[in-house]
Amino acid sequence: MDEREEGTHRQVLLEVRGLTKVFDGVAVLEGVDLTVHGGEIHALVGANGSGKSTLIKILSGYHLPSAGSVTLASDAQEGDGQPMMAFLHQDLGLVESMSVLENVALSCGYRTSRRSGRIRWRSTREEVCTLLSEFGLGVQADSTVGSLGATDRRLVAIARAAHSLGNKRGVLVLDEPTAELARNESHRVFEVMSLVAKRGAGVLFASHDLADALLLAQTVTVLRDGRVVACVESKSSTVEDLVTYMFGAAEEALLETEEQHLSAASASKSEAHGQPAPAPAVRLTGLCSFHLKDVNLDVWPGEIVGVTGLVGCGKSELGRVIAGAQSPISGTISIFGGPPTRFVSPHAALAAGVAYVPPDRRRFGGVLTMDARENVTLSTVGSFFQKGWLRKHQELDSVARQMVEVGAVPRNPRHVFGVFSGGNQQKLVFARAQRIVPRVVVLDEPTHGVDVATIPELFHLIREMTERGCGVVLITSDLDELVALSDRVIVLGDGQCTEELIGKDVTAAEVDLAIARGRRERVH
Amino acid sequence: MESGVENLESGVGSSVHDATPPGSPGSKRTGDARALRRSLVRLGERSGVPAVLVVLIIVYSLVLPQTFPTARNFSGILTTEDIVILVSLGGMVPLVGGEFDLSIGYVLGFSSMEVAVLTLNHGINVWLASAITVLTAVIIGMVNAFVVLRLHISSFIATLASGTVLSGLVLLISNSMIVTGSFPNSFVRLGFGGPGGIPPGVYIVLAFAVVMLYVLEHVPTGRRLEAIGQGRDAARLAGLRIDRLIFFSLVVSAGVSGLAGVLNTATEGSADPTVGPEFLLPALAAAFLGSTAIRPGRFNVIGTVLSVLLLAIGYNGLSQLGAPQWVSPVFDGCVLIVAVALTRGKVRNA
Repeated sequence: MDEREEGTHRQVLLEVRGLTKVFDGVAVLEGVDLTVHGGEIHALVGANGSGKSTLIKILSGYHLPSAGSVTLASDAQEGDGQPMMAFLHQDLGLVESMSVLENVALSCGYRTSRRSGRIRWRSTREEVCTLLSEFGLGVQADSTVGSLGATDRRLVAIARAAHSLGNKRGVLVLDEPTAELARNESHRVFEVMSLVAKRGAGVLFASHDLADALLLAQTVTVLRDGRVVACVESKSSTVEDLVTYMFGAAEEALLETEEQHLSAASASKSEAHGQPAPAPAVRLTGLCSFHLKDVNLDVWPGEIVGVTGLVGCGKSELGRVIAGAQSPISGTISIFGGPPTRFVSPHAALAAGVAYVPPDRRRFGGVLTMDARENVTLSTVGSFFQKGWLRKHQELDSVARQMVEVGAVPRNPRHVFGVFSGGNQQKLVFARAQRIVPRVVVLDEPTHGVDVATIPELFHLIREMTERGCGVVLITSDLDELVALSDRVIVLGDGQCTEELIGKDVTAAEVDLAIARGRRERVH
Repeated sequence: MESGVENLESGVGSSVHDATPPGSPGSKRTGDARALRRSLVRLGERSGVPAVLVVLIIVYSLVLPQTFPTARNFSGILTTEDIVILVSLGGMVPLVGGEFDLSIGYVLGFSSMEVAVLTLNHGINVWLASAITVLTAVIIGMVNAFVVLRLHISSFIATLASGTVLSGLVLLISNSMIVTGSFPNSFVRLGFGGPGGIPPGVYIVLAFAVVMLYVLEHVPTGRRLEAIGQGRDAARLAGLRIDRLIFFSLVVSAGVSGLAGVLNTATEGSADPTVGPEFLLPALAAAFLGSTAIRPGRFNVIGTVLSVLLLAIGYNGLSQLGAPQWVSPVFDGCVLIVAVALTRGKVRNA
């Protein structure tokens, strides 16, 4: 038994050579090499946009690589069929209304009777129960997944993925396996991952959390701007080492744009703060909701406050609550010193002057099948209703002019929203926000899925909003964007403000450390 | 179910994007021939239903010169179809907003019976009875809206249920019998005669179509209703009041169906407890067929009216040519599939 394990541990299971991926002329991955051995846990770290998720998407077959190769070593031991990979994405792919038993069987197959094709529930159940006990999961096979806690769901999904490898020594790939879990829960996930590795499979996981990566993995590969900048043994490395690898050169490159922006920002800020602003643009008092716990925040006119944190920290929810898309459980919102209130609908927030640029443009940002004109005037179409008629020509002219202003191409207001590129769609959403003459703007991942060339234009539009005296809440997981725009950064962890960074402290490395610290502090 | 409709619409909808408008500077550079072809394709997309309608009229006129192209035949078609047009337009309003109202046929049947029972069995003035009936229909719409908005039951199920309840209530108020008797002349006149040989009921329906055209296409409410139908989540975040719009659409569809029921009793001179459900499918089919024309991808008033006429004239000609009865529904169903498939096919080629 020991000998067999020893043998497989040395075996290379997954070999990635010179992997390159180009999107719209921009290299997202460049010549990435990566090797995963049997029995090894391998961590993949890097800042947002460094190419982690693209790499995983190529491994899973979602994207085709532009160049390079992915080789899976054939399994000498078992000798049957192809070696395999199993994936655990951030979305676990569990059906909440079905039982644990059914969820496992869905992806690993039901035991069926040869003759009639009928499901043999007893042996299927035995198989699943064996699996659950092997991994030490204390859940009933019959409980519905919806009734399980976040950790148990994740464990079921990992066990299922490991089980789908069957007896073969495949590779289990996990994307941020602990991102949504409380710190004191994540060790259970680590135990299961170690168990999978002990059984001879290779484990590759992407993580935002450097401490986790060092704790769990034997080898850590660091990505920066699509390249492997380091591949280190975890025993001989520290969190600070990894941060240096992740941000080293990027810091200097950022400084230039930073200085330009700082002078502009300080000018606008002194303007805003020079004359004492009478009231904050938004004041959140004791805001609690599903994820948020007692959030207090003031955003002043002309200020951009960045909000960041890991997936599941509640940052997106904070945006929705301010924009009225989700009702808070308790706490109040006050706009420009107005009476403390809670918005029951986006309409109410809009009436108070809150504009919202939601994440997931294709679903929440715009109506894909309606044209640019209709999307831009969606909130304000009433202003073109004069003397009993909707003045469509006037509307068309007005939108056409605004499309020039925000630089949306093609400049045809009759084009359907869905055919604009991501960046241009976002410009149209910004145009809609401008039209309501907002006093507070909430942006959630404003440059997600936007091509690199358009991002500066969006930055310009965002700064323009502050010049008009808006308070801007910028919710983002993109640290470059956060650093480039924010006057102040709030780090959220588990629904609470864990840290606030001001002025010089707003750097990618500091923010990343603050995010990691936030999680560790909660344990103590 | 709803996603099916969305797919249909997104498919149809994206067909509008293809070209720069003909005559813009861009089209000259890309070549006049190409621009011309594109604009012809667009014209073809928009005018599929009217074009087929014209072709049918020409063909039938040539084949049946004595009986088809006569004023009498056309006023006959309009007289039988005015109620279908009315119900189609009513049922179309929730469809614009992304909801279904399957109770329209049953509301029609119930209202038809209600006005007859109030007038003939209870001796109430027929116009007062009509007003009460339409008001009842509006209340039914409010109940539908309550179930959809407050109990959070999908409109498909909610209106299926309320329609089923109404089909039972019709039996209750009518004692399961046809209610007939002498209505005042002024009421029955709605269904025949009238200026130009066209009954007043037809004028009422056409006037109503004009009002609908105005509300849906020239007032912000129509635009907002389209937005919640095509992208509910985005529309909500843009500050649209979804609940109000859905309430409005369900009340309008029920109220209009109630009016259609009153008109039906006037035309028939009696109320039959089995009348109603047969209007549902043709009405929805016409609304869907209409969404392939005039403004492809959007439910629209003109497209819907033309679709009802297309199906009616297709049937009228076929029956004059001696086609057996089963041909008509087969014809209607095939037209619907072909029209939608053609519009979607163009999208893929674009």
